[in-house]
Amino acid sequence: MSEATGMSRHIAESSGHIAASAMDFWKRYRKNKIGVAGLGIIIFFTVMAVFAPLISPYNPNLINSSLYLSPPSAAHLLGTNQLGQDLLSLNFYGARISLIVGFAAAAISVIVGLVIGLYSGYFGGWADEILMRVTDFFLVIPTLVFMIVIAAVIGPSLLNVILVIGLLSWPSTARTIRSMVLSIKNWPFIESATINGGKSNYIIFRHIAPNVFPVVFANAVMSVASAIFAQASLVFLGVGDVTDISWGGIIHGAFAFGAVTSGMWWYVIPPGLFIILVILGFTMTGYSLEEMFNPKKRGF
Amino acid sequence: MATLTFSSYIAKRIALTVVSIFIIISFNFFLFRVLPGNPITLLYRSPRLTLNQEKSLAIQFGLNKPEWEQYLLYIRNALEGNFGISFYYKVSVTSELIPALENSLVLLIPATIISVLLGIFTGVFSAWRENSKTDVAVLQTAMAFYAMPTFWLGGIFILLAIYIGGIPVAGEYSVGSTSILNLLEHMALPLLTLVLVYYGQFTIMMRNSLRDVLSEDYIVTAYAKGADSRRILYTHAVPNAMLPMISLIAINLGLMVTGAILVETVFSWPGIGYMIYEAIGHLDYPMLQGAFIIVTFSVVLANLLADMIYGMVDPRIRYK
Amino acid sequence: MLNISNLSVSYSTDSGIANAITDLSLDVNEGETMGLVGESGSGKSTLGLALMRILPKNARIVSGSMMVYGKDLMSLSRGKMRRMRGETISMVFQGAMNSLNPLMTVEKQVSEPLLIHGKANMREALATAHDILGKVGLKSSAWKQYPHQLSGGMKQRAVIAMAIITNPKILIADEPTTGLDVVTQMAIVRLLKETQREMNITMIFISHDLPVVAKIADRISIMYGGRLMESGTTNDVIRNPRHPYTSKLLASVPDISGNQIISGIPGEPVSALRLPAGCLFRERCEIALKECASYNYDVSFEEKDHRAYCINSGAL
Repeated sequence: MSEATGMSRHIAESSGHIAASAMDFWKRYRKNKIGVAGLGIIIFFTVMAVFAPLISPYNPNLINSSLYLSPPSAAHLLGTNQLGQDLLSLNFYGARISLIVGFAAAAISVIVGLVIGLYSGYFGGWADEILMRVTDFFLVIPTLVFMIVIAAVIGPSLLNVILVIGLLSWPSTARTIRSMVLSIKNWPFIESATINGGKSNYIIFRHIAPNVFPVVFANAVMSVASAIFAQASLVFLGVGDVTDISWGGIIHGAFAFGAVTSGMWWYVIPPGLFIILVILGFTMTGYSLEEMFNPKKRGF
Repeated sequence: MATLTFSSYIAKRIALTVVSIFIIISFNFFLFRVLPGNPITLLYRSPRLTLNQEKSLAIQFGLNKPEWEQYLLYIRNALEGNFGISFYYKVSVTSELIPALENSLVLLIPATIISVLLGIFTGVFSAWRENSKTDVAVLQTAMAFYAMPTFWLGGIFILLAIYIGGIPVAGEYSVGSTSILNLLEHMALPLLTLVLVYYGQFTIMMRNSLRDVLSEDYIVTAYAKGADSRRILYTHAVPNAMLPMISLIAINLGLMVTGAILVETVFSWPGIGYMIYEAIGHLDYPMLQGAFIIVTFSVVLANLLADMIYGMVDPRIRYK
Repeated sequence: MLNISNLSVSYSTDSGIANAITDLSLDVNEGETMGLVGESGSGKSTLGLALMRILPKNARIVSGSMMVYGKDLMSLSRGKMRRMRGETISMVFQGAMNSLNPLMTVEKQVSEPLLIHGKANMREALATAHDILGKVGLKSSAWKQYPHQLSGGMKQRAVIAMAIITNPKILIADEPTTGLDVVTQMAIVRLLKETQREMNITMIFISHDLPVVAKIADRISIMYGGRLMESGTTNDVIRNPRHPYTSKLLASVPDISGNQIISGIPGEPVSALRLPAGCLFRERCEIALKECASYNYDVSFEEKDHRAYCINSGAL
């Protein structure tokens, strides 16, 4: 814990030190093999997403009915799908949706979780009690089923999928933040700020929030992985916009058009490998950050 | 005295379960009414239903009555297992869902038991050799499977099964067959997929739980008595490490259910998950909400069961 | 019968090597009670664990020997050492804390050593356990209870019963009274003393509480920073302390009415991670000399069995 607080004090310091502490932070992070590998994977897929139009051999939306489910060839390294679209290009473009949904949904869930965790930990009382019951409930309930039902009712657009994933994933973040706030609340400088009549909002956002920030950050990185997982599962089940290109969608297509049962491994294996890799990338990075910020926390 | 506190523990759990069930039903009621679109139409009026069916639904769910009365009727109907009529099958949702639930349990119960046992076994193995190469290998294997999308791993198994040949990749029975052997053949791949993806979380839980227990004072006491490794592990450490596992297993049942939905879809296993998948495709809203309620009910009730087992196993709760 | 010579134990931690015990030599005679006194971090508990050879994985016995009846415990195979634990050498831990398995009844835990060492079957073991539990003052209503249902004092009695059920030769009691109220503390000390006499056990009584130790021990050894500071008969050490640390410990005696410490020892105990050269106590010592910085722990005071490791002990 002492290291975590030391770290966060760095962050809380004036902006002049931020560049220096960022350098300091990077020096420590660089030593963490798992973390560096994870970050490398994230960068790899970010580059793939950004430069998809440049690296893709074809326009993925190009339909060519004469190329119905064709096997890999020199022209189409991973073959084509039921619409004759180039699978390699589809897989490159698929990185976009995964990352967009991952980052956006994680941002929503972390912001909601942060605010709720801060208030509930700081004020305690009945609001806190309700929060704990709600998170208990969410922890137990199969969230994916929740997401399916809501998305099915409100209409499965990309934005809706992001909202549904983001708004149903905050409880675990809120829980973590809450327990941190409970201990930070008793630090002498917070207590003295409270006694000196500091406004609650000021204390929460000026004094407490900077100290939970590192853990929030690690948590956010982990959340990206679970959001990507959730999105892939939803699309696979047919919830979501089928015209959006995504890895889950490619796998959905492979099943729906008999590619799997026809043994077309080139259709189904690559998008799954990409999902696994990107999820491992975010998990490894988040895990390493957590380990750095909070060395006492148990591994895995 | 002792039984009084134990029964108050149970009473508290039951109360929490009732609250959860109430939340689930209410959530459903409001979801299909508050959200945009025309929810009443979504649930009770479909061009596919006959006029008679529509009329009887309107009476059962009080569609002409004020909202609060509809809400009460909705709760009553839900508790009685009445979730309306399926748009697609044109029969009551419950009559379709009950056999589906049975099929799901046929797959889910063995999958859970095997995953938990495999997780406990590998977790004990890992914790006992903490930080050794075997520990790292066991954990990495578990993590690798855990990172795989369930439906994708299922797809890989289908590819392999078709390449090898002779292994059924869809359904619960071959047409016309009802033999156990035939069921087991069909179950092999979905079961394997579920177990592989989900045992890893139990490995990690068991490893961490046992690691905590192994640093407890009473373990040092057991060493001081002259107990050997076997006795330390199986008489003292594992039983204590199993206690938190009971709650953790219960909490993670939700995740197993999610996995089952995906696996059923991949292998066309006629359970609730497959019903959900089909309902999404058919826009069969009554079916979707019925399945949702049944799935969440089951998970909540399984948690209640786990809490009760916990209360009976832990003497600190049993004899307070 | 128990001879420890030149024992050094270290822990490897994230912040470096911690020298928990340095070059410690100690002799305990058959049938006597040796009191081992020191603040937390003095290495006294490490010594107990080292004697049982149940040190944590990150600990290492760097050098030295521990002879029991002329046999070095270090030279025993793992299996032989295991069979000695709980049979020849037993240990009593701080029972008020977590030293009992929360899922086993008291009688089961107390009878376990007999089963482990193959001395009885389940029925006989339970009968013996009841016998011993009665002797240490636990009523039969408590026998089938779980640890959380017992008070701290009762748990401590159960822990003692568990340690003596095999008739051990040596009993190591590590802080057996810590966490108990004063009345219970006295009762436990009395119980240990009686048991020790009756069964003619050689006892090592480890505690931070010098007055409690003085009540039970025949001889006392004072440890600081992993080294021996002073040892001698209880009478000599208490009446005529020859080390400034001992006199400070005596001055910080709790008063009779309660636990109030009249005067603590100023300064922080030395860190096992960074032991200073020379006398370990000199930073906190009021009579420290310049030469203390180069002191190499030759015995500097010796009178019969009474030894102290302080070059300025004449100033006391």
